[in-house]
Amino acid sequence: MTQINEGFTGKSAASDDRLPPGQTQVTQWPVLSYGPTPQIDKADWSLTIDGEVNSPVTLDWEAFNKLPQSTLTTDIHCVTRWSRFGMEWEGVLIDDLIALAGGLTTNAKFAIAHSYGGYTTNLPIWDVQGGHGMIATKADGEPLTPEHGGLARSFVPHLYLWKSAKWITRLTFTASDDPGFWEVNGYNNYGDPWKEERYSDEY
Amino acid sequence: MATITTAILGKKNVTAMSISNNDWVDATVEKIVIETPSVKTFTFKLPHAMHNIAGQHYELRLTATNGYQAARPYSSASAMANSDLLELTIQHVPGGEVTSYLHSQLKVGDPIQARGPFGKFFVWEPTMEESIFLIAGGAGVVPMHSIITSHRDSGSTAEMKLLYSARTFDDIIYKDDFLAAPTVEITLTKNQPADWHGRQGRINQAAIKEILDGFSQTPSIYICGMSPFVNAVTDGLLTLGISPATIKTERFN
Repeated sequence: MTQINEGFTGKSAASDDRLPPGQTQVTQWPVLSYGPTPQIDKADWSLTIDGEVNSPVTLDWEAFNKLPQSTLTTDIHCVTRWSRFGMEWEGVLIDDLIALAGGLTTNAKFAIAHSYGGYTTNLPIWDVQGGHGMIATKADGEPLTPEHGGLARSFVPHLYLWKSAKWITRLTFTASDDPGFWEVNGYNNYGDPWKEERYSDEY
Repeated sequence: MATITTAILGKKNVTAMSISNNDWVDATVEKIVIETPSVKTFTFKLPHAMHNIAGQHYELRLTATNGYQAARPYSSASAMANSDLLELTIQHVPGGEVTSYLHSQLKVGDPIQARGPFGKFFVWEPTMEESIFLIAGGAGVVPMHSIITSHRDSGSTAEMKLLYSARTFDDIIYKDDFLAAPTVEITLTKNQPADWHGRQGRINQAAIKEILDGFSQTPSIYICGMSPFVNAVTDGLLTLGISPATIKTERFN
């Protein structure tokens, strides 16, 4: 029943099954963030894994980079409707960080990412385990620049990219959900691009 | 999700439809205003009244004959209280599949789908009393227009100033609202008419400091523009010792 826009053809093939609904493929890498870009010195950087873990741990840059490095080659999807295909991301799997912290307690249900600058985002633990998420320090072989979240960002590519926290400094496991920055500012609590979970229902 | 509530009053069926901001509605183009060579303001007639606060955005969706659809987010040009006329100011992105259609083919009377409003961060409401410094580059001025006109029309007494960077006089969007507004300062970066009395050149630390010094208290700062513009302005503010926590940014690429 949708009315047709006469003369509109569009650029993308409607049948591209690699592209989530409502997305457009881009080749450049856009930058979006809600505030100034934090500049973090390697000497000042740290990552803490705490909350519902058996032995909370804080790593400095050197210790973090000595951990086993993994790569994820994947597409990324931004809620502002662009997707970028086939990027190679490198970092430490969140599985490995959980193991380093002695494993999750039986209370753990959610992971809350906290960033330098105050950003937070919330994820169910399933989404950061089983190889689904990492703390990334490189993309396509290059260290992440500050505007793309460097020194390190969480990376959970099966969800819209706001769920991958730039400038991460702490990952806290919790028993109850705690909606993060965009989640309380009108965006969906989960953010599955294949279900187009972009915005929350406001009314 | 659309929910339809039907109440039976006597013998009459009265149907009230409640629409979520996530539901697409069928709108029609009511008016198109050419702001600059690359920017137009579209007024869309909605099937029912909506409301949004300054700074929020909507999405527009086009449908091709083969069913292919493309949607994009656009900032609302004005706050709207219980109105069925939605104003979106849209810059033509060369090669952009949606803005190219909007700018070259969409005409008054045409159908289009819209939904919203969205976003609760880069927004301003008349109940906010703090001082506000808005800084915009190019089409980044669209949400600022929404904020400036909401501030003006509500009679707000909050201190507010917009510093708007445009390339040339012809590139200034919303000339009618901005050129005489005491809350708006415009800087032209590329060239200026002979009788231009506004600012000249790119926004630099000195210009920012001069305007900051004019505030009676430290303002909250909103910045919108292309990413390099936002980076340059935020760098300038941070160098001046402004706390990053007081700065909101909205970027486009």
